[in-house]
Amino acid sequence: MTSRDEQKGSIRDGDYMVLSPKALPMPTAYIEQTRRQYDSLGYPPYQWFEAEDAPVLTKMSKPLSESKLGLISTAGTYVAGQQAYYYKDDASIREIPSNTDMSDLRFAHIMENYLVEAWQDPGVVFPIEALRKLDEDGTVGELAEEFLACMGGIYSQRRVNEELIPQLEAAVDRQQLDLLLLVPL
Amino acid sequence: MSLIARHFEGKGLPTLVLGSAFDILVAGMPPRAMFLNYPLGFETGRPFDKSHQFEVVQAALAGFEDFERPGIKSMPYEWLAGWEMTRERARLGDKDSRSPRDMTPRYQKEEDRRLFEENLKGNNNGT
Repeated sequence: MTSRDEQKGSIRDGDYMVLSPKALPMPTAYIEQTRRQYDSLGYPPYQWFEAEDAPVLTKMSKPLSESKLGLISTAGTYVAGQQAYYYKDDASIREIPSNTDMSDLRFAHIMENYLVEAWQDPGVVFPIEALRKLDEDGTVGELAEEFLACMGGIYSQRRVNEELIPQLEAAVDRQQLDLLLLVPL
Repeated sequence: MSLIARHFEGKGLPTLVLGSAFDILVAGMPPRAMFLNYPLGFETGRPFDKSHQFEVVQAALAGFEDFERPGIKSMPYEWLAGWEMTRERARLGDKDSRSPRDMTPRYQKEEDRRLFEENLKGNNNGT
């Protein structure tokens, strides 16, 4: 990627850089769209996380080609044989062995109308084959034994903090990762 | 997802989010984010196109070594299949064709339920 492909967008904080896409169309306004939709359905509003300040940036301890990489997906990924997620604030996690066959990957998420293609080709949201290839060709040093997944549509940020994150953290700590890739749905 | 990314980054583990909802990323300010301007549900590339999915993930991972300060960078890919799909999915959402929000596991395939219940039985029998 080069700077030619980007243009400087709004910088909402001196410590945080936002490079907006140059190519049309403008990104979809999902927060507004969801607010409108839930309102018309009589659902309680979904409160997206809003950060108050810029985050810290941790320096890499070694290059990507020597690093052990983990993955967290919030697409509601599970493996055939595991229990599926339910739609009311499910804060559980699944460990997905990184050698799982693509044909055994499944998805259950409250945004199920966005999963039509993922149900046929899991590679659109859960990049297990791409990561295995990047491991094989040496781009990545090593893959986590287990990738992690959860169902991202949790209303309660308290439950995210008190239930979901501690489970993810225990699993991440066990694997002694150097880098973590996160792919939301 | 930004909340999770900020948590792990704060503990000393470098993170990178690959996402397609620009406004949600801007609100959450994850430490490193690569924005792919595709409809939701294609965060790691077009369907049935393994070489493109590989290219997207490869380019995203290069982002790990490309941030000097926290922020969001846009990836140079364009969604060529049109955006009617996104509008249609929003409309479907309006009609609420989705399954109820209760505590029933929502299996993608009915056979998955059988497989899980068999596993559960096997574990309970100590086998």
